[in-house]
Amino acid sequence: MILGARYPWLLVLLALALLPFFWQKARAISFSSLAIVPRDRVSVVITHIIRAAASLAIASLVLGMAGIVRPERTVVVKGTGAQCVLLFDESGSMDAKFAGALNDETKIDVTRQMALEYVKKRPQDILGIAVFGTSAVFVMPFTQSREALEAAIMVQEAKLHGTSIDNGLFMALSFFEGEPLAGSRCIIFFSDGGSVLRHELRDTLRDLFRRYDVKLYWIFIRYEDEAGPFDAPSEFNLARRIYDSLLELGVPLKAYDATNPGALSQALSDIDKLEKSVIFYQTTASRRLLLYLLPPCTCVPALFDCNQTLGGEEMAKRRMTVLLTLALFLLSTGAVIEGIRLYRYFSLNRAIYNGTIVWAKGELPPEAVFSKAYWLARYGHSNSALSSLESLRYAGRYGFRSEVHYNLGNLYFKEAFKTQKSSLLFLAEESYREALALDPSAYDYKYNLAFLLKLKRKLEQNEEQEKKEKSQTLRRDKLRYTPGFRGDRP
Amino acid sequence: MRLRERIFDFRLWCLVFSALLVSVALLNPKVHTKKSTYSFFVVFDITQSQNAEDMVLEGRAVSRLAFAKHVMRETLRDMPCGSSLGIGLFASAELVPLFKPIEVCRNFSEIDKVIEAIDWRMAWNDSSQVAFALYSAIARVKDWGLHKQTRVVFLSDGDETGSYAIPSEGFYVDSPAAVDTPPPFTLKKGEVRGLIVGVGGLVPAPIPRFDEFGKRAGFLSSQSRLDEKYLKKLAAETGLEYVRLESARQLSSVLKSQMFGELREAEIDIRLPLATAALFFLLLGVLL
Repeated sequence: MILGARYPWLLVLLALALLPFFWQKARAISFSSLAIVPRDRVSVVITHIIRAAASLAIASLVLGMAGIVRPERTVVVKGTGAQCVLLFDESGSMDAKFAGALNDETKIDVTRQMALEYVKKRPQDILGIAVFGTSAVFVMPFTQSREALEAAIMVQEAKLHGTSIDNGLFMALSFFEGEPLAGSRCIIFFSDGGSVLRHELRDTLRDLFRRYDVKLYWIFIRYEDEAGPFDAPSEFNLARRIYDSLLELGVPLKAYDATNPGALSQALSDIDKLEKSVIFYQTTASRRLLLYLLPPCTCVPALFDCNQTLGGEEMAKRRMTVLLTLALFLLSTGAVIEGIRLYRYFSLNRAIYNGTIVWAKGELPPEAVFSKAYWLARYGHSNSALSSLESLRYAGRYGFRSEVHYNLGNLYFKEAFKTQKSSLLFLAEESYREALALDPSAYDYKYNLAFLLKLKRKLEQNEEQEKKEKSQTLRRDKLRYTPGFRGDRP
Repeated sequence: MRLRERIFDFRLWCLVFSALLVSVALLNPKVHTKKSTYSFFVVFDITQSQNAEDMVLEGRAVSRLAFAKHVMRETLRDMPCGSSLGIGLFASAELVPLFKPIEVCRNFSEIDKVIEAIDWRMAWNDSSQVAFALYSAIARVKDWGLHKQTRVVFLSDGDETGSYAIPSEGFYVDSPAAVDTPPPFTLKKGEVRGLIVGVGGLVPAPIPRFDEFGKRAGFLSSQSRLDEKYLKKLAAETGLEYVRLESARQLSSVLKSQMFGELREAEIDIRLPLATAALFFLLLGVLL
């Protein structure tokens, strides 16, 4: 933990803490002869303790004055919700009257109302805002601050020229770039038509949607007599054409045809139902003044008084007190250190249990890395999960390592299915074999390996067959184009 | 006898008093006073002339927009808690407000990220009608009912180019290349206060041109400079102040001057004086 200071220059005063050690304070005690005062070891120790206490008190006061703070830090909190971008079409046409208007609301008015309702209804969602006309404008980054979101939504108007849906979508997708996966992700897209997606950009868009794992909710807001996305396709039905072009993207899409405010709230409650997955979000714990160190320290010199020489019975009493205090002090220090260690383990265990371990940084024990990989895989980040597991290849004992290899195998196997790459199958096989070598009795490992081998053989057979077919067609082609043979005649 | 001796020892009382002061400080009492806070609606010019690279930041030539962004981010760091800031963009004759003024400490990272993300590519049109954009920024603040506390901060180079728009009528007429008298201001002059900030050099600088992929492709045919004369005319027309942007510190000090601030109830921390007194008595008690 790095500490900061509000007034660092005040730390110069720390030098004052040395004063009690050098500034000998003498108090007049009347004695007939100094020679008869014995030199007492316990008194000397007590003197040192008292000086140390005084010094500590001065130091802690100075630290308090300098404002030693723990800087703000981010804390990961778990809840339910989604991480979504609200994307508004702000072309001039959004300024026209809305089909289901009760008192002459324009389409952009309705959009604003809906967005505000959404923001209020789902207080845990992390939302961002982007708008577009011919160009796209970044309005608000991902945030949970309802104050900021409402301040942004309230001032949105339809003043931009033109409509370029793909620019808008690109801007909305760019919000997810480099953003840690916090929960389920979506783009809520309010628009009234304009243009279809440009064909040449479709693949790029699709890739981005897949990479960031984003769902699309399209809320179509229409004029009075306009056809909607679910009406029969025709040359004039632009909404349907846009809908088809969005469908062609092949991303998870849900479209709504808002003809009246009721339909809009239907869309909202749908989203409400669907986007209920676990979400992790970061909040900032504000910086804290660490002044609470002070009182015990200042009290110490107030209780004792400095520099006295004691003798006789009183000395014996003091000796007992000092020893007991010392023992108590040592014991409590030990207890505190042990408590801190226990707390660390406890919080690590909790993180492992509820999945916040995904966010953990820095050195972790191998078991924690293992569970991090488990949660990453569970949230669909198989690449990061794989790299975490790979780092564990040579960590831990046989039992643990066999588990690591087994999980690696499973992940590679899954990935192989997803991406259809046979090289991943080989990696999976290798991992299973290694796991089995480490723990030959595990039934699960054997079963999975056998399954994989069977699958592989089948694949190889298929391949061979394909090759054979190919070579046959080749031969036929050769025949056809070899000079002298005419293959094209009956 | 020893007890009595101790009770009358002033050093003991010094220590006790010191401990008392520290305990009071730990309770963190608050004293109420008045403190200046600010509210600004900052409008950035994102037209092409803002790409001219005639500003210097950390020894490098940067564009006017980059400089304006840097300065505003520094100013944001400098604003006391309780102040608020809103942001708008303008290109062509339209002003697009991004958000109303919001509190700067609670929403610091949000505002900072928005300023960082401002880019000339967000512009929806190539022309630049400074006067109309300024007028609508003022009108917007008035519409929101914030004219009493919020000041407009309008960052621009005063470069009136291209067609001349009459937004209320919805059509555009070609105007002579340079416009030197602002169109009439229809709102009440001086009702909304604020500052026009001139960004740019006084010597005409070439404006970089970008192709459709965002790569630099030479320069535009016309050059542009900071048109202070025009901006001053605009300031006179609307009752705003004018200042030429030099550095973050300069803008910050102008914005924090009395005329832009507003006194509000605020709490101050008195732990530091309490702790200082405690330290004094502790030293007395321990050392004397």
